[in-house]
Amino acid sequence: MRAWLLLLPLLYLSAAAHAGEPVKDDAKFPFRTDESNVQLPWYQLKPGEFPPFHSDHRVTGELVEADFIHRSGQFRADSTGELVDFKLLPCGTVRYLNAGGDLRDVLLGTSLQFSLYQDETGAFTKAAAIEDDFSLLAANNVAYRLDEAHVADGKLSVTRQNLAENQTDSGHADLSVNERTRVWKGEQQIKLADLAAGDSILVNLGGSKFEKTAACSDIWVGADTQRAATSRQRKRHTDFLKERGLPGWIEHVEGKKLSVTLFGEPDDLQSIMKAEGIDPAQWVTEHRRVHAVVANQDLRSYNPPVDGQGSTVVEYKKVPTDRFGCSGICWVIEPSLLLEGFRKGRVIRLFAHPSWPIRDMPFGEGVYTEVPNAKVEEESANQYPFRTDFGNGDLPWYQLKHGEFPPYQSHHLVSGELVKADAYHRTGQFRADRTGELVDFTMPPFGTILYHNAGADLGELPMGTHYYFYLHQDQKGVFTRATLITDDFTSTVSDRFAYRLDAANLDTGTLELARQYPTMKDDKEHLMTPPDIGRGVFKVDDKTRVWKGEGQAKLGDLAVGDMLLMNLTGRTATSRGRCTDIWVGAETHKKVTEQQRAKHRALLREQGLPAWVDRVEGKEVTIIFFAASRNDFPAILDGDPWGRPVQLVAVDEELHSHENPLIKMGFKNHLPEGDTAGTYGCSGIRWVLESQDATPPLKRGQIIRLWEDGWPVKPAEAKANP
Amino acid sequence: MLSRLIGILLGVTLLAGGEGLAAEVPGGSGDFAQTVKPFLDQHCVSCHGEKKQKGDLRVDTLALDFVNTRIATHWTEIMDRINSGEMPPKTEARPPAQDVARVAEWIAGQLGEAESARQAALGEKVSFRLLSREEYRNTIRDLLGVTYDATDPTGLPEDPDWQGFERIGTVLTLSPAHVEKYLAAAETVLNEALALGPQPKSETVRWTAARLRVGGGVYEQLAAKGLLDKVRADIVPNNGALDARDLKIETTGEYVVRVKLSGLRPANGRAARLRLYATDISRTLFEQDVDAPEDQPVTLEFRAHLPAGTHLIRIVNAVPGPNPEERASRPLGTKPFFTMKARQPWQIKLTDEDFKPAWPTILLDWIEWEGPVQKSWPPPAHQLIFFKGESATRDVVYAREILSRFAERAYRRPVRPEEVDRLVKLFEYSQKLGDNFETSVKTGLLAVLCSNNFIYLVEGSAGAPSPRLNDFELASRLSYFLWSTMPDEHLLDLARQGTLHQPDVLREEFRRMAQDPKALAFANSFPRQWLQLRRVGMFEPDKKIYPEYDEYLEKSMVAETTSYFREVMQQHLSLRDFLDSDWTMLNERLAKHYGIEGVNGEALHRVALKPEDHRGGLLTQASILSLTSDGTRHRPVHRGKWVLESMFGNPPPPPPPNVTALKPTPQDKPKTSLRAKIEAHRDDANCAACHRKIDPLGLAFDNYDAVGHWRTEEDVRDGAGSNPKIDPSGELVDGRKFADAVELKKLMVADLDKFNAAFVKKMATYALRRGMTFDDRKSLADVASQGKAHDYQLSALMEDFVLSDLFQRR
Repeated sequence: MRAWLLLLPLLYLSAAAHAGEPVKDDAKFPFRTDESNVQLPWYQLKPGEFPPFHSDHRVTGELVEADFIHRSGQFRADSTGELVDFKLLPCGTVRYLNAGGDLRDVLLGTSLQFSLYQDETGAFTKAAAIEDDFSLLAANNVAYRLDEAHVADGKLSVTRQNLAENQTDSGHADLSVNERTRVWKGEQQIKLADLAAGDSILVNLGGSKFEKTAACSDIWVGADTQRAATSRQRKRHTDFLKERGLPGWIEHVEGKKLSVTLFGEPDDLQSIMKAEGIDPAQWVTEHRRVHAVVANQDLRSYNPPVDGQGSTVVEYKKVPTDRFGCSGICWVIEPSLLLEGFRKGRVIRLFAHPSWPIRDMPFGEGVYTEVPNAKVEEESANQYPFRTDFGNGDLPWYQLKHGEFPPYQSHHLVSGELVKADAYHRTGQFRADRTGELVDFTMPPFGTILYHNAGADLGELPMGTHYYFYLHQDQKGVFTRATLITDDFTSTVSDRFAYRLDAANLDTGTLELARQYPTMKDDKEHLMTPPDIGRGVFKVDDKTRVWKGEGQAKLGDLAVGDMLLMNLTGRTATSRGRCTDIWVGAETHKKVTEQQRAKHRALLREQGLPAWVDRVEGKEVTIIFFAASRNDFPAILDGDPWGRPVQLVAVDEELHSHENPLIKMGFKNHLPEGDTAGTYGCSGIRWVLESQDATPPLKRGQIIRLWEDGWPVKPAEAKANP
Repeated sequence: MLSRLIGILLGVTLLAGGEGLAAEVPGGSGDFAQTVKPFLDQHCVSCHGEKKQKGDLRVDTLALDFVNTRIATHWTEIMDRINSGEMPPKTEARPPAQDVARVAEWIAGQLGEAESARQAALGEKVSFRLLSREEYRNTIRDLLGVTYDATDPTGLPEDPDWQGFERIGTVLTLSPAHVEKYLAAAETVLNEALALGPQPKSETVRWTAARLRVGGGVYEQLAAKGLLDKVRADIVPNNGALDARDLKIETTGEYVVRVKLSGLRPANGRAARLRLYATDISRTLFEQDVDAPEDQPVTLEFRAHLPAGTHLIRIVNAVPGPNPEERASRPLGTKPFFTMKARQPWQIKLTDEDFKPAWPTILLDWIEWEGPVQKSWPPPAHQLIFFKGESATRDVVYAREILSRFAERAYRRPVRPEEVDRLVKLFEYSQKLGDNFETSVKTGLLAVLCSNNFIYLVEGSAGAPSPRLNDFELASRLSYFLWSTMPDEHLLDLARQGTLHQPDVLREEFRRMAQDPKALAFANSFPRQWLQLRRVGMFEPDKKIYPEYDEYLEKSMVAETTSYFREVMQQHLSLRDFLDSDWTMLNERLAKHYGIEGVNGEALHRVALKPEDHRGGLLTQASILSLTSDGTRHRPVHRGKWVLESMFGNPPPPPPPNVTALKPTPQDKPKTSLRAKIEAHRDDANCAACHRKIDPLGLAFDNYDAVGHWRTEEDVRDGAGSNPKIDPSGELVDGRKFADAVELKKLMVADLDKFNAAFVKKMATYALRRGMTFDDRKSLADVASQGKAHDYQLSALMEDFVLSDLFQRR
């Protein structure tokens, strides 16, 4: 155990013990650290390499969001209040209650220490280790002796004790407590008032130090209680690993033999293996077989029951452990069949004991059981002949072309708060999250909006609300062309999950929410609810509107277990924003969407359906309709108008007609979507129309609006330029 | 009649006192009077003679009429009982083993001879010899200019063989069901050859990799991104049925197929191998090694004749691979393949850590099917048949001319007026039914193609029986001997002139025909039948023991032997080369199998051999070594028997019934070689007599395993300890010893006359389409001695044979 590493300032005792201390050179460390070697560059991560100790940048903060699937999240840094996104390295470890763990185990709001490395942009977002206070204290044999409890004042006076060195007084401190502080003794939860002077305690902190709301979230009284907490966590993590296999990466391949170094803290993994009856050396002498399954860099496996390979353990090597995430255990295994994923630097998981069940990861976590929109990172960069937000950095971005819908994933996604909107000219401005930069945007003719998961007009969007802008470059190469705009409501529904209320802390104006998939059928057709895929803290205030059923409700009406969708506002570098609106329950969500859908349908049937001319051949004109949602669009039409005329008018890029004459045409055919699949702004519906004139007054690329027979025609609204 | 003739023949032989027989009859080492009768008198007659007839068998009066099946059955039983040691009974004195062997061999020889006589069907006034499938297909090609897929399931029945020969008249029979097949075949070929409807439109269908592989809505997304042409199909080795697609063919005909692909070859490994296989017609349309890097694809082109219908085409990478058809080998419709560097992690690893090929892999871009392609319209055969063109008067006179001309070509002889009358009647009947002129003519043409005179080679005349062929019959014999097809116009002209049988004319014609590319048919077909190459791969080698064995190797093995024969024929080499040589014909696949470096490509080339290559002649070719093995191990006894049969024309007697099989060695006993087991088996004196002759000829090749690999140790699976060393040494019946296969081959070369005689007999059986009989013996010997005079040169021997009296005899 790298105990000496943990002789670090316990930040809640001396908030900035090292602040202001001179930075010194330290020849022991070949890299820059927080305390020394400023002249050296920071260690740069290398694929497939465990980062060495003493090369990390250490930041503490409160966990405010966790994405279990992608092993990422967000914390609020104690020192600056800034919100920091993080993502665990493949070998990155979570240490919780002094045992190995996963982000799933860590309570929201817990104060954690992050060992960070720079990402491709230079920002410290890559986490090699995450540890809670309990772990930091216990691993160093440090505990607090309670001197005096001032519960009414929300304070505990304690003395720090180093048990290993028999130091009974390593400094005094005051710990904050509040009415949410839980106290654990033996198997019981006791009251704060039950604490007695002389108790040896370990604590975890919750809340923001920056906002001075930090207080003990949990207190464990006595060594037995503390050991039991550790033991429970280890058992939990063991079960977690048994279900998924021990992760590690391949450090060397020679012929059919793979050298796999397992991830994890050495002591922790050894304890787990011992408890499971696995002796790494014995596995070699007994020619044991393990089940090796390919995984991605988020440690997500594909289809273990099918793609797993029985592998013989042929060698056990002890490897250096002075590296983050390296367990020190390296097995050389020989699988029955070599797979593409058995390459140097790739992550695999080993079902190391024959009693471990080999199952797929739960829905949403396994890569092979895809979830819409979660698949992008797994796709080959070759599937995109342009740069995307997740790859192909060496290629140019897709450039909009007249008469062509931009293909799937060609956008650059930026989120922000709508500041200005000119619905007539289809332009506006938003303030980007984090940077606060004001970005002007223009919607191309096929640009669409999904609001409440249904089509909408720019004029309908409330100002100040947070939206996602799917941007393409303009002719100057600036991302100003908003091809699609969605709100958080839509974005969450698109990802197929909703938020489940776990705790409503209205006194602090926060909701703790879990991301949950709807109940679905498993492969045996049994109904089941997949496990949560993430968790986050969201702010509410008295301006937050709550909608339930037909009417408005109050925040106080929210109940644990409610399924919520929200729209947000006010997201900045230091604020996760607050909820403007909360919709409670699946029925409400459906109703809101249906209302918006009906509204949009009426608007379009009045203004005319926008489309462009795809082809003109003789009297035949083929058009393709624009649409925010392919699924919704057919219901906007009255079906294919066989035998009925349609009327259309040529419009400009902003979809206005400027008194152009109405053209009457007959309907001839309905063509399949063809190569428009997955494109932005396209309905996928092509109509072939027949002009009454021998040469229709339309060219390819001309934008039009169209009315079916019997719809109110309002082509002259172009005059009313506000 | 037939049995009487055979009886007479036998009588003649007996009177001749065995002259020549001892040397030539299989197993003949003495005649009946000297060897067999004394044996029977001494050991059998006491129980099966005048006084007693145990088991209702009396041997002292048993006729020597071996053609009579009832009598032959008795002789067979005698042979089996004495061979197995069952007779004489244990209570009687044991005859010496060599006496038993001699009697058994004599009986076997007589039985074999009788069988030949039956196959020869001597005595028929008119003999009918059905065309083999290969000959039918070739004849249709030359008659109508179209391809008939005779070996497709919808084609003609498989030809049965007799001692490997697939063209023996009495063996090739025709059942009523087969007649229907010939009718269907005629209909099919005429539909393609004649322009009875509008010209079929030639169309091109392209199967892109995206169409083959991409699904789940991803196809349209790729289209929107303009990436469809970047998608490739990664075809793993040994992919079996993973990649298959229906091909709809509207019109039977010739199609041009183009394939764009890369074929990745591992360092020092095999190239990927593309095979397009039509499952419904069980036909490989195309097969070729592909050696083209990922970024340098090639386009291959070939032609295939395809019948109308929907064909399931399998696109196969026909090389051994690690994981046939399991999930790790399968593509995923939603995850298209673009490059080797971006395959799915759960798929089998096809490249090494540096992304260099580790397995032969095909990356397919597209396959294009264009057709039907036609040289002209109407097709050439149509123009030839309706020879007066479009302006002709379409009447019965013209129809008669057409049918007469066509029948003459199809029957390969002048056609009689009454034969034409029958055809014209069919024309007229069709006209009455309202068919147009061309369709009515087609009815007559159909009748021609279903006539005996077309599908049989007819020799002889009921009215004027003759033992010799007339010139037209001679033209067909020569043509089907050398070309496996109908005579061409030049040959028929000579027949019409009545000069073909003249030696100078016949020699000239033989030489012309031997130079023609069509003579390759003989070089291919004769060795296949003589050496029984159809047995190669009959017992598919065990994949676990021989993982590298595949169809390509099997084809290459057979191709070595047929190419070798062709080389001996075309280069005017000697029969000696069949027994031993310092060269062979190899392609890369087979050279790799033999461990010979420096041979590249798929075509077979002549390659010089060094002693350490352990090859030379036919006997050490993998095809021969393989066909004389089973799927798991070599079979020395089979090998020995094959040598006696095919190289000396001297098959051993069949084994007695109920011979006990060799037992596996217990796992706790030392490993035992097959040779040791066989020798232990041979301790039984009754077995030893025959096996002494057979086994050494097989054991000499023990250095070659069941697929013809060279080895010095035998890979023994049962028993404990190390594998036994190979001992290929042996002793011939005449006492000459040899150390190994090399020395045995030298001894065989020293006995070249025996091989020469056997070869001539095999060639004659092939040409005359019947078994050789005593009657032929003198002629065969004459041809053989002429061959010797020409230093055993194959081409000269063939010429001598064609000019011999035998060749012109029925």
